[in-house]
Amino acid sequence: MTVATYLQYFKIYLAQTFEYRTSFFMWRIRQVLSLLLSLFFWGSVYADTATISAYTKDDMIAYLIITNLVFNLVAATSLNSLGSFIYSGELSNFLIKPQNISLYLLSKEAADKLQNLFFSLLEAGGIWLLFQPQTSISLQSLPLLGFFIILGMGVTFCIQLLFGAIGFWSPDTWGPRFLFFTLMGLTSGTLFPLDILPSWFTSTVALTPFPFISYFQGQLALGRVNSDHLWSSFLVAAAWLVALGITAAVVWKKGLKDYDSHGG
Amino acid sequence: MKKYAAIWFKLASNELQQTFVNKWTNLLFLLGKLVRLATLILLIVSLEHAVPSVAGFQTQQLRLFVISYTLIDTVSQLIFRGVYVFSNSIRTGSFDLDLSQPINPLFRALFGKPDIGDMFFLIPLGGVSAWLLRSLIPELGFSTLLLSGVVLLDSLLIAAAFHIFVLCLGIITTEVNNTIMLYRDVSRFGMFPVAVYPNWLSLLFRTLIPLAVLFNLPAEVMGGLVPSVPIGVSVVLSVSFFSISLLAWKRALKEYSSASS
Repeated sequence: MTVATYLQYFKIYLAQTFEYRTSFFMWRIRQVLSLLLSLFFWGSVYADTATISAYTKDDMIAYLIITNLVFNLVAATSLNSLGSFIYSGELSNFLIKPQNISLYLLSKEAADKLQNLFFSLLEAGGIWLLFQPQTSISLQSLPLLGFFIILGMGVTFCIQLLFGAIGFWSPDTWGPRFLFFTLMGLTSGTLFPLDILPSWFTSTVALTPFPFISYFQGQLALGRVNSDHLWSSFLVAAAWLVALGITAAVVWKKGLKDYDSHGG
Repeated sequence: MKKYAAIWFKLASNELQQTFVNKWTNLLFLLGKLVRLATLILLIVSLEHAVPSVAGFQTQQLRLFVISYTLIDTVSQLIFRGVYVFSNSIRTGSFDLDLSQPINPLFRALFGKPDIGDMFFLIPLGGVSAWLLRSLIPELGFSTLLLSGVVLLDSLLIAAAFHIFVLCLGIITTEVNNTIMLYRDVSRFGMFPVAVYPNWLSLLFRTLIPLAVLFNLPAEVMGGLVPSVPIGVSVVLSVSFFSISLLAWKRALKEYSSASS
């Protein structure tokens, strides 16, 4: 199969996203609502204090907008139903064709990220104009920010593959997913910067892949990361990417060996 | 009434059996909810050390609002979980089967799938709530208990009304998948006192989208705080909301056309 095939998958998935427009519109509203809730709450908290853990009100607003934007890019996925796709036997339709399942999933994921990038940028831009945080974001940090966003995407893609792989052996993929993604939602820093919590909590979370979903990128954009922290964070994130990538490859290989499907 | 109670117990017992069949999945769901609660409490307790007050409330009093929100949200999910799968029964046409049975279809759609997992979550939640609120709730006299009962009933009526509106939207426009999740997102604004929001939004939450009655009022009455909505107004609001939702349901049923073959 050529690149054109996967490009076609990409286009089809992009078109599918807009098939149910009301549903899509409501999904976008939901993204904005959760950010507004955080912004209003923190705005009110700052009425009686100038700083919280070295964050001024403007820092906090900028941080929340950036981390939510990054989270929408990194964590949003088209692979939520991968487990049932495998368990239901639908995977067979792809295995009998001369195509690479990973590239197919990547095409789908890329289309999902692209539409998320477009709409999240619009939403975040609008909210930024509405709240007008007086915080400067260094343009020099943008390439690094982009790099860590891509690193975060790689980590979440591997995690999605791993959760999807449960479908090779069991139909019950939602329980582990719920627990994991609840943990991820709380520790990715979209509701509040992790470093306002006790240091034992922050240092424990720093060893997991969760801060690289959006918290670390938010810190980077606000210029709160020194070079030592940058290198150690890079090593932790890269180690997670490699470990998760290898695990996903091994688990999928084993899963495909064990896979069987019934019916016609 | 007796017939419906018997049917509900039968449905609940079916759900309970299903919960035990998928015990590991349900255990993980329970764990996820506990983690979410623990992080929320950690945030509130950390804030208590950082700022003395938020929107005119002592920061410690935020515990009342967060716990009130979590308890009411959990109870609503326990009771009204059927709403989450309703749009699927419209799309597949299986709602026809509910319509042909001698049971009110609204009863079946609203109460037909109680979430037993949430019943188990209520046990640790109750314990944590009692521990967190031990110093915040004054000794409850008869009048406070009576008022608490009234506002909790108001709260449940409004929760029921919101869920009925979601059912109506499910019938009218089968395209909509995200309505119930949109309701969940909007209701999350009720986690904090409505006074933390800008005036226009706070007014909206006291009137047209009465999250103040749904989530804040029980906390305010039990904590001896000034109610964000007068109790009399909350009764009128909840009864009106519930009545309008019933009218909307009747109207939506008239619009229903079967999708089955």
